[in-house]
Amino acid sequence: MTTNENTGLNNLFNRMLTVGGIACIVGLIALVVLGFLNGFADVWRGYLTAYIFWWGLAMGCLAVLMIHHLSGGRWGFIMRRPLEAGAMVLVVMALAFVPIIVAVMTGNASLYEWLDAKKIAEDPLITYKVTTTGYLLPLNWTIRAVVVFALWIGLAYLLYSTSRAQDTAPDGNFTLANRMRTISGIGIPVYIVTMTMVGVDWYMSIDPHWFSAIYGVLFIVGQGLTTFACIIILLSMLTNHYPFSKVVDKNRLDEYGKLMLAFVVLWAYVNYGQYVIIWSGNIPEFTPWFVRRFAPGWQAITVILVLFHFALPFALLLSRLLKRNLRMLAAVAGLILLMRMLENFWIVAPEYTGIEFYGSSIVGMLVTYLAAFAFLGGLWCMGFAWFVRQQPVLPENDLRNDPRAMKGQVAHA
Amino acid sequence: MSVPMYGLMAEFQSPEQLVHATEAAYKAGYRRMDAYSPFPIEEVSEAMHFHDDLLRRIVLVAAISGLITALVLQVLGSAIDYPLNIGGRPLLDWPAFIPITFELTILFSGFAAVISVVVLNGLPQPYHPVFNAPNFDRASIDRFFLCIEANDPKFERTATRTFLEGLHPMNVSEVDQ
Repeated sequence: MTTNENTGLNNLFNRMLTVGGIACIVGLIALVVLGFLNGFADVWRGYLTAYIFWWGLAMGCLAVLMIHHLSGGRWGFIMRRPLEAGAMVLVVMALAFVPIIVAVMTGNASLYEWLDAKKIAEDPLITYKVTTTGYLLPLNWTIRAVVVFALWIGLAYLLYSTSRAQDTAPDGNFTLANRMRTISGIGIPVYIVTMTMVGVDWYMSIDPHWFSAIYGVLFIVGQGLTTFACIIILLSMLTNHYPFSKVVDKNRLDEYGKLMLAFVVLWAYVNYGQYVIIWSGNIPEFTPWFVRRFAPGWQAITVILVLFHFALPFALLLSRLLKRNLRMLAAVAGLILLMRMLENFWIVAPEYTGIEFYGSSIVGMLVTYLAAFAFLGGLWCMGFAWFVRQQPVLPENDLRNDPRAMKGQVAHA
Repeated sequence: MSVPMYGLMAEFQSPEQLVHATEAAYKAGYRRMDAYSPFPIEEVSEAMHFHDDLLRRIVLVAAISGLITALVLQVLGSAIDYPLNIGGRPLLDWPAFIPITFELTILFSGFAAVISVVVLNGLPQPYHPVFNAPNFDRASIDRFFLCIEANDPKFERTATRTFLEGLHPMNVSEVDQ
């Protein structure tokens, strides 16, 4: 890799660092100012909401990377380095989780009502979950969070460093490729189990009275969708630059489009699955979650999500022509990313407000949430731009998936 | 010549050569041709300008029929012919209709796709002339074939043969009808 070949890419990553830095600083200042103006409750809640999105993107990168190592294929080869960098952003996201841990350890009840001493004493269910079983004791909650971050970062780092070793050594016997495959084979179940646990710990426990078995799956599917939408948008930025201009063609775009379509359908499937089960049962323990989301105000967001998170992208992505046109595909991916942010908002915010919509304070609240998105998004971009530059932008010596290594064979991946 | 000719078959060693040959043949004006390879090569259908979305249309029609069938059956069954009060829910309770609607849409499309693939490909077909070409069994192992058919308006025995030989195949052979 000579430098002059990569000046385009370097400029792109430099811009990402600058934009990320600005978003991060502006977001942080806005959060502090808004906190002093309107109180810090919304700042914490906005932070936790934005955290699902950006931490979820890093987790999605790790998950998609592991799926690629297990399944193979050229789609993953092209995006392996960005995915590895995205997974390593978990280090940054772990640091960004420290404020939430501090809030829980200091008993900040605007984040979780099970931190409120009065409710622990008076609400029998919260008493049971906090005092009797100890599951929601702040220390136990924190230990679980630290353990899962250690597992995820461990997986991300093993894949990242093995991939790096493969760059410098000819991997004729597939030793390193098989090692990454083994790590991923162990990593996928770890990812799924920890994601269910974290979904319960970090987000479902906002309303400790409600539970749903599919909740963790909503996170897993959402992260996959966010990741594919981001991959497509990133691809639209990378594709004009060497070496991506050499390896990206319409067949790859088609593959990314199909994978994104699959996740759009899966998202609708699991959400509808949860809805129809709760609707059929019609039991007071389960219905509040949907009662809040069908209340005036929230209902509009629910309808927007059904139409623009599922129906419209689904209809558009059926078209083969659209999937082979990078600009149109990137536009759909952009719509999906916006909807992902709205969905994350829809998952968290009604848990705090109940059936009340925010009413007159809605503008202040939205700005706070947006500032939190900007702050964490800026951190994400800076972390990504830093990690992605530590290695060549395309993996070397990947004999299984590199089109350059398969002389005499046309694409049939 | 007692047996009429089906076409001229050129045998290639690599998929790139096949793609290149197909592009050249299309450029030279040949239209009635077909390529045979051990695995699908999208570039070949692009080189032949092969557009056929009949299957897609059939599947779309089948999917919409499945969707309508499911909705009509459920509305007739639970709201009109046998209205039953279940848990105090409205008779037209659409959330309950969705699973069946989804399943029938998929079922109809699946059947339509499988049956159409068999029928549109003219299967079962016990005899096809291309198998008369020497070495043709390797089309499902490691060789790549391009056949220009005799009923192409531009087809002319010696000229077409010279054209194919100009593409550097391993060999060119006449295929009997």
